[in-house]
Amino acid sequence: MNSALSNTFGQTSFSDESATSLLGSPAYLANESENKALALARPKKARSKFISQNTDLLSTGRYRWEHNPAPTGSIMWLFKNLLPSTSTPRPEVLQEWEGYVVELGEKEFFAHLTDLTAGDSHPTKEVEIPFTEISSYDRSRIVVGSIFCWVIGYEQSAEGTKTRISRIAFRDLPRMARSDFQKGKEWADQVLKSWET
Amino acid sequence: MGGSSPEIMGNVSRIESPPTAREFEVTLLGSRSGYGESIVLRVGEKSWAVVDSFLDTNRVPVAMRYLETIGVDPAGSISFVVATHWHDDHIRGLANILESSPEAQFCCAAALTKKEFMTLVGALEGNPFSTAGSGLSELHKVFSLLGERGKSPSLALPNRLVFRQNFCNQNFCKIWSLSPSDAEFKRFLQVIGREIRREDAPKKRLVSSDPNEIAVALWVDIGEFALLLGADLEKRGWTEILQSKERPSGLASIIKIPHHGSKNADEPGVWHCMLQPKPIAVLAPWCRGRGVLPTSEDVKRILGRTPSAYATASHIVRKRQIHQENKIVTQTLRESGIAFRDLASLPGVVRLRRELDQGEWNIETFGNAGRLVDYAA
Repeated sequence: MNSALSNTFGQTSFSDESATSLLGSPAYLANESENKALALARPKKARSKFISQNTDLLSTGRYRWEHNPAPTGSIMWLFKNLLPSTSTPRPEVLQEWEGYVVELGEKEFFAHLTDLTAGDSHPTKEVEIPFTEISSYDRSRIVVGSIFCWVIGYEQSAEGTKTRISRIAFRDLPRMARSDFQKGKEWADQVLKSWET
Repeated sequence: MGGSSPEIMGNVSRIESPPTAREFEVTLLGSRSGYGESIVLRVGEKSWAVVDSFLDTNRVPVAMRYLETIGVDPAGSISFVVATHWHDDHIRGLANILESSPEAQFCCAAALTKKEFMTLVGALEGNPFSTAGSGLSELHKVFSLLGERGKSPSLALPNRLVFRQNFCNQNFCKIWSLSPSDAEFKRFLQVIGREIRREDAPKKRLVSSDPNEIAVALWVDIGEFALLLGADLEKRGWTEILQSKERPSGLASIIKIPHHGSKNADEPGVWHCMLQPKPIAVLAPWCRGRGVLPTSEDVKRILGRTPSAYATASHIVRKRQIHQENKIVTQTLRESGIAFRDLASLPGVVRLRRELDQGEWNIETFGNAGRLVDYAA
């Protein structure tokens, strides 16, 4: 990844090629235990919300961080997502936003950010992010309406090296299922019925 | 919600003054960030209507904050709430308003209460996948609340009387919905039909670029005078309103310019057939991503039609380096060079008042609001 962010923030191993160092990557945060570690490291105010919001993500490992190029279902992905990591980093989260893409430009995209650290439930900032800050893997997934998580903090490797990090991870959202529409229909029926009476 | 917030609007001593007993008022509130629009209308001696909503920096609907500022208890006095459409910049906080105003009647486009659309809302918002609320999640809250209360919404259709109340003696305040038209309704259902068939597609947040444009334009009649509130209705919608023979008669003396002054919402026929010559025009600027409305061309065009035009902001807040409480975060962001723009900002206010039986409008601006001629696009 040609990421100015990564370079600026002192990450030296975040290239697409770095995925070959899979299990040894101290910066990898895609599996459940690591996400829970991330949640525990969050400021207390926003912690419970994070855990409840991400229950389905945690259980399916749907958070993929920008430096993770392993396609879903590949051997790499299985290693990363299903096997327990032997060197789980314990990130110290200083700031976390949830963002959603509102507009695509030629070289950048615009997003609205909700400050999860402050416990907000609606966006309070707009940001313009160059595509160069996003891995080529994630870039294809950026569409208007897609949702990502942006974390700034510290991470300590098993060897004790402390690194300042800034990571943007796009979420693989669950697919619309028949059951979603069934639930939607039941809700609509219930509300419409109450209006009749 | 706390007490009135003097810092909210600026010019505190003037903004706090309530209208006199026989004074009508229409106030446009717009976010300085260009992402929020709300209108407050006095529709009776002790009765107010709110059209659209956004939140202030303290996450309180600005309409409620404004009413508190002028000494009106929002909970006991808001009797009519309109969602002109479901986009984020128009709908945030409507559920809060309705929640605290149990007697208020809610009004929205009839199309939004169609089972197909409500199924989509329920499917996307019944199991929220995002922390940030959206226009649809706000609607989900509103409809759920109305469901709990067993109170059906008032449905906006072309040329429909959606609100009527005695204002003062023999004066009545009547509000008519002018849109969405049958054709818009049909187009909307086709779009929703496509969404419903997207089973197995990844969930995503529906944002306002999605083609669900059905906006409720309103005609407010106070006997001696009338107002045209254009919502975000675009040109095709206006063409259909002009072709309608059933629309309320008369010429409005005030227009809330549709869709933040954009060219695609400008229909010259509206100025000729529905407005008095050189009416008072008010608008709330809009900004998202690279888009800014009104553009300098839009400003010229509007000022060519009326010199009496006002905007809720003199300019749009630009991107800047962020300052977070945590110094490390601030340093990290500064090093990245990424700039941010605040979406939550102090509102600008354009307030118009006049005695029911006296012809002169008293125009006041507060905060960053001012004359459109001074607006820097």
